[in-house]
Amino acid sequence: MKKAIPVLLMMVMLVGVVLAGCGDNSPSSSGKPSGQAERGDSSKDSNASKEPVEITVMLSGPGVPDLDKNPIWQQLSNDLNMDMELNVIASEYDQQLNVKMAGGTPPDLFNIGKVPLTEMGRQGLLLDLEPYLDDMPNVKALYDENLLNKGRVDGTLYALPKRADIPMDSLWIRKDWLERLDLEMPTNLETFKEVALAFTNEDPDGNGKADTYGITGTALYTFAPIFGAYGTGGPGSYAIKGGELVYTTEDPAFREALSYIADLIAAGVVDPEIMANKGTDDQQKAFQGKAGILFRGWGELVKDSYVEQYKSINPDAEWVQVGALEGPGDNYMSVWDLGRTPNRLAIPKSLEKSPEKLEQVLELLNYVTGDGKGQNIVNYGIEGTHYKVENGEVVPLPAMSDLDYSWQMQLTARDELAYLSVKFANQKPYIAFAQEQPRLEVYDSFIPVPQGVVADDKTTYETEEITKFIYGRRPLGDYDQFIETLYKQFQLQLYLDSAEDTLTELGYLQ
Amino acid sequence: MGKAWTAAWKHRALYLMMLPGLAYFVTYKYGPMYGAIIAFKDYNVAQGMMGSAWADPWYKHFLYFYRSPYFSSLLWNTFLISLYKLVWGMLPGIALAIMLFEIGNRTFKRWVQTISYLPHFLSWVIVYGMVMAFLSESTGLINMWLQEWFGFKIGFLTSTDYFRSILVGTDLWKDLGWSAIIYLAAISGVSPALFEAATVDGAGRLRKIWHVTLPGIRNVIVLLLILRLGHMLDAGFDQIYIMYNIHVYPVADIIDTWVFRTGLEQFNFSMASAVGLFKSIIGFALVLAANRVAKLWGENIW
Repeated sequence: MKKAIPVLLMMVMLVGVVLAGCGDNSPSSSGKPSGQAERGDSSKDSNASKEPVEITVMLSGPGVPDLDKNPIWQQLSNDLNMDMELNVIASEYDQQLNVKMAGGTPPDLFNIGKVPLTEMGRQGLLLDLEPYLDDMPNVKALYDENLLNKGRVDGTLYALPKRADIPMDSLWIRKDWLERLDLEMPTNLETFKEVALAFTNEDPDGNGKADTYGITGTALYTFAPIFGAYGTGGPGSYAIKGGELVYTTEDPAFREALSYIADLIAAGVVDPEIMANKGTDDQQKAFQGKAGILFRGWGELVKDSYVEQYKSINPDAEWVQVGALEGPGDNYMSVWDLGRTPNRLAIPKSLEKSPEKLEQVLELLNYVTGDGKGQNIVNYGIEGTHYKVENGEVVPLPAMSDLDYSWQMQLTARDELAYLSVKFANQKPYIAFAQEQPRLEVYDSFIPVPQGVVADDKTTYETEEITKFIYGRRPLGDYDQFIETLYKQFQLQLYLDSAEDTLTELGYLQ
Repeated sequence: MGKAWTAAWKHRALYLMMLPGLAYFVTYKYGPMYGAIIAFKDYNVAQGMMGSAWADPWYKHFLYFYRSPYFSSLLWNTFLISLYKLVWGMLPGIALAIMLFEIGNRTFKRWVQTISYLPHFLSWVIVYGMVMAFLSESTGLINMWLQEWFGFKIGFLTSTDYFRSILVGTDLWKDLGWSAIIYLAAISGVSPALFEAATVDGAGRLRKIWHVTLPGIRNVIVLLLILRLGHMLDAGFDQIYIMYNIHVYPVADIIDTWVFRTGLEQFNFSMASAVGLFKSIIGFALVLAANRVAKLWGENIW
């Protein structure tokens, strides 16, 4: 018993010393040199030893490491003298956000999807950001009206969109399978079908079993390049052809594409579970050699870690990109949504009441945007540890690969091409390939859900019936009837009117 | 009045013991009921429950649900899946309980009991993973056998023919042992004198089950049936939400999954609670009706 007391005392003292050490270091090493230039006009400079401001941030997507393993988070907190609580929610994000909002405890800054943005904006839960743009000079300098429009609801700026990304998806094929079966790279719809048939029936993996499919994917997105070859997009998109608004499901080219897809499915070359695949099921099936053709982003196929993964399953495997297929249409790879933004950030209306926190959030947003130090931290990490600067160019160091979550910390995103070429030097050709593919421009994200409809009923019906058409459970002869039901029972006209109005207002339609 | 009061005072200790229970129900069951009010309002989170405007007409959100082209199929699916689960959730449980009771070897009995109620603690996500491993059309074990021996495959999870059976089957597998527990407890409560008397009268095992065991637990069976009827329109949201896909919507989409997709994702809490209220009223009516029917056998619970 007596011995315990001195031991305890020693421990307390040790902790004390460690804490004191931290206290000595932090202000001198990070506070002064970085802070001054970036926050010149901030009122905080007058009071350097002030308590850090607590803010909560909620983001959607895969996980981000905790504070102690996250140098980006540490550096931001240090530079801005804030105590940021960061919640990153991987699934069911909308529901979690709804619960927080409904419970009256919204985060101080959060990601928000298009539909909740409209709903919450209209209900007056979100802060109008327009008056605060002046407090964020970096944002103001980089965001033009087109970009800001993506965060507006009925003309009010309720969210700051992330800066646009570039198209990343394309058709992928197993090159080693093509070679084993002595096939040419498919270039049009006919050769595409031949290859898919061969991949299914001619045992491309040479294991003597009929255990492969031509094509896998997730839901109708699987067939995006086929819709593209016919010059149209997947179901439920709004495009403009010859100056007229076209709803893809109604497009005659769409119906032709369906009959081609129905043939593929009837021939048994498509993974029968595409409609049940979730998340990265299709990618995993492809990696395991169950299928040889896949439509996905380069990020899910040729990032170094994924290449390692599929090579470890089969060292001969080699996935390569296929260009847009030739077909009767304009030969698009897929669609590109002009209204798209990778995500949006909103601030709750209630934050007006705590100006200190609001100021901190605005400062954070400003800091991580623009060419300054903040943007470099969220992009590349800490200078000297994760990257170095040579002749004014950012050169990655090996440690940079630890920061695969950094896109989450890039609250307002980044200058896409410059960033990708530093970060994914190995993937440069794939990135360029995907970016150069021709895409049909669509406007889906601009178009608000009309009042008084149950949007999900329409989407469900559309997907359900199209699934029946391509699986041969409903004859394509019924297609006109299907469209009629969309108008009659699911009020398609209201959606088209909404699209017409919005696109005219934005100047895309005359 | 005076008499009732004296009677109550006489049993004051019992009433005192009842208080915590009452407090619980008032706080957690009756109190929150006022929230049902938002079913009749255009609920707006910013304005709060009281501040939001009344819906016009008052049944607006009920009408939304009723007018959905999916209304009748949702109701039918919910009812049917629930009914299947009711039948397959009760009868096998009773049968298992009787079989366990009849087992002489105590060690064996304990093992069976433990193993059979273990799956109850698995989450539906895990169960779904196991179902996929067996039934998946492209990678599932059973389909690999079918393909090898018979040269065809069955899309169990994407076919409207099999999906409900899979729902009920997995539910049965998961909760069989668990539901047997309460019946087993009830059987243990049947007086051994009755069994002995039956033995003396020369009754065999099956006779004893039929004339002693089953009548002995009849009141528990009826009680559980009535309680379950109250949840008739809860067909098991978590299970279906994880397992279903667009192919099987026509047989699997239930009220709760629809509400989840349309109400919560579109931030329409008013509609979600209108549907919740609708479900509760149906459940309440079913409980009343079931009790009426049970009265015929003198097994009513009130």
